[in-house]
Amino acid sequence: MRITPIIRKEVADHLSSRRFPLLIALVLLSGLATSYLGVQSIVKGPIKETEQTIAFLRLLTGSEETQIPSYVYFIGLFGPIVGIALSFDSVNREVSSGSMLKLLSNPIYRDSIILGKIIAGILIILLIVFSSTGIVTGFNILLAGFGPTIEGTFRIIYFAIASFLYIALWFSIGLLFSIVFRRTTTSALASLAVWVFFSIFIYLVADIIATEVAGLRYYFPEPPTSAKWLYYVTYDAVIRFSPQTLYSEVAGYILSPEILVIYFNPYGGFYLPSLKLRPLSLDESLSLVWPSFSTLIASFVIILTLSILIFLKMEVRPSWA
Amino acid sequence: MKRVMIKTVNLTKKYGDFTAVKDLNLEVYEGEFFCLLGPNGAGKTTTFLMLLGLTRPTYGSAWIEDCDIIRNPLEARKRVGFVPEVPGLYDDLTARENLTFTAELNGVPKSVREKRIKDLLDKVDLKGWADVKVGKFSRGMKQRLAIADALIKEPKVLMLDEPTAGIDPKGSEEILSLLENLSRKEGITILMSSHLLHHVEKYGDRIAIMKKGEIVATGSISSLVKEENIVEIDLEGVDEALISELNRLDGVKEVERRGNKLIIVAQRDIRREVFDVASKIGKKVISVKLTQSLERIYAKYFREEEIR
Repeated sequence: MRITPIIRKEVADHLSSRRFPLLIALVLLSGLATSYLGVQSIVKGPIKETEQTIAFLRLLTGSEETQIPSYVYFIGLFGPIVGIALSFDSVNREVSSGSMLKLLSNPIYRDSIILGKIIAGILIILLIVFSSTGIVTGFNILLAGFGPTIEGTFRIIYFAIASFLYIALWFSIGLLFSIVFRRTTTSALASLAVWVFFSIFIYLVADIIATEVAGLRYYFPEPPTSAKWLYYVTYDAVIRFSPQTLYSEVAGYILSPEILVIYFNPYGGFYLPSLKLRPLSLDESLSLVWPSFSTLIASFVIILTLSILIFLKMEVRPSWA
Repeated sequence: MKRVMIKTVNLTKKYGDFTAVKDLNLEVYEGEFFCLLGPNGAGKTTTFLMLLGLTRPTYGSAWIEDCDIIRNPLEARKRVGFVPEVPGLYDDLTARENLTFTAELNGVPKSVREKRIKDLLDKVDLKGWADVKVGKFSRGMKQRLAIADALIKEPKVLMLDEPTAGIDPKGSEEILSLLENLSRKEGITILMSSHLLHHVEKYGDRIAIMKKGEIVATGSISSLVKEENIVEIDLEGVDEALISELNRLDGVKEVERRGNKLIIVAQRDIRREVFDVASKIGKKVISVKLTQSLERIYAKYFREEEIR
């Protein structure tokens, strides 16, 4: 398979596009700004060496006391835009310009074309996530005056991997739509519609479903604990369809070793730390996030596989014919 | 005997109930300049897509040289250079970068790549434009570069889908002369679709006229036009008796009245007989003219306005 020229060209296209500096600036500036504001509220005085890891990681997650959105929050918000922007027109633009037909007339497998595009997109997402996380971490060290421990460093690396997976999942959604829809505007709008649904409307939908499943409407004045519990369980299950929820869980557990259990507040949408015992070890945190982590991986793989299959079957005709 | 470079046997493509190409039987020989004529929707592009292995025929077979396009489309594409109607070049890359990318996809060794690109740019008269972004090229220049792009793999067959569409007459002549040279001097087999008859008449060796997915006429241009002789006779007092007499002549396919003129379509040159018949029934002949034209044949199949 002659895939290397395609990867090289796609990477060059991304790097030389006008979108790339905008996307990296979006991620980086939000990270640097939240670090700058966060460090003033989190690092108020001398911090014990044992608490430095937690304090340092809080520069990424934000603290409960401050109202400043965190770096994690911004990745959760802008990550989909980054992923979608890198892929929403990657196939249909080439089909409509005629370059896909020319490309396919060469002695290469179709797999090479779509895999080339996927690998190039993944490389660019890795570049954006790891470079911006590295720069933000370095900036935090400068501002806070102390750095993360080895375990803290690994937590940041795992967080970067989760961020990569999250953005890559949105990349795969954009790619799927760029194959399914012939017009780039349609694929962009469809991708954004999915993003809006899973970012905003999923919580409303989950509330409605959970209320109906638990039958909360039928209890007056106060529903029993069993109904409340059923409500929370159902709500929790529904919002887990959202990549944003999965990502928040993964990032929250990995970067907040002091949190043992996370509940989702249906009215606020944020997690509430409950039992505070001892900080979790990295292994414990990873085992807690594994279900969400693996769901992110599985969703990414399933959507990519679907995209590849549709692309392999699609009839590429000149749009003018 | 010349080698067959493109062969199709009952090649058919259906999309649901719609038949885009039906029982296409074609043989194109080595070094031949073969033209597919037909309006939009005639099935020319679908034929190209099948020959490139980009769409699977519903049934039938096709070969490029000795390579089965259904069983081994990749091998077939190694032998074919394709120029789509819209060149599909990358506007944000230079001419050289575009050619380099295609050369890499075709596994052209690095050692010969640069020289081949230089030679091809010379050949298509874009020598001074190697490092200019394609977005700045005119339509004709893009089409010439697309031809160079298709030639980078040194194909034995070159397929071009309406290569002169939207290009000014001078640009079209340049492209067709280039193709003629490739065919005559380098022995590259050319399969070109077009609806510009004068181009086909001037450059093509053989043609196939496609209508609604089927070939309705095929052969060399000279043989086709000989089958379609149009005798235009201008005379005084055209009447039904004369038309009836003319219709009885051997080889006459159609007699049409246009005022004082009669247009007679025949399989051979019947000027002398026409003159004799008119004289015999006392009609004064003012002029008799014979036309042998590809355009007339095309018009006949597609019921367009008659040219002369």
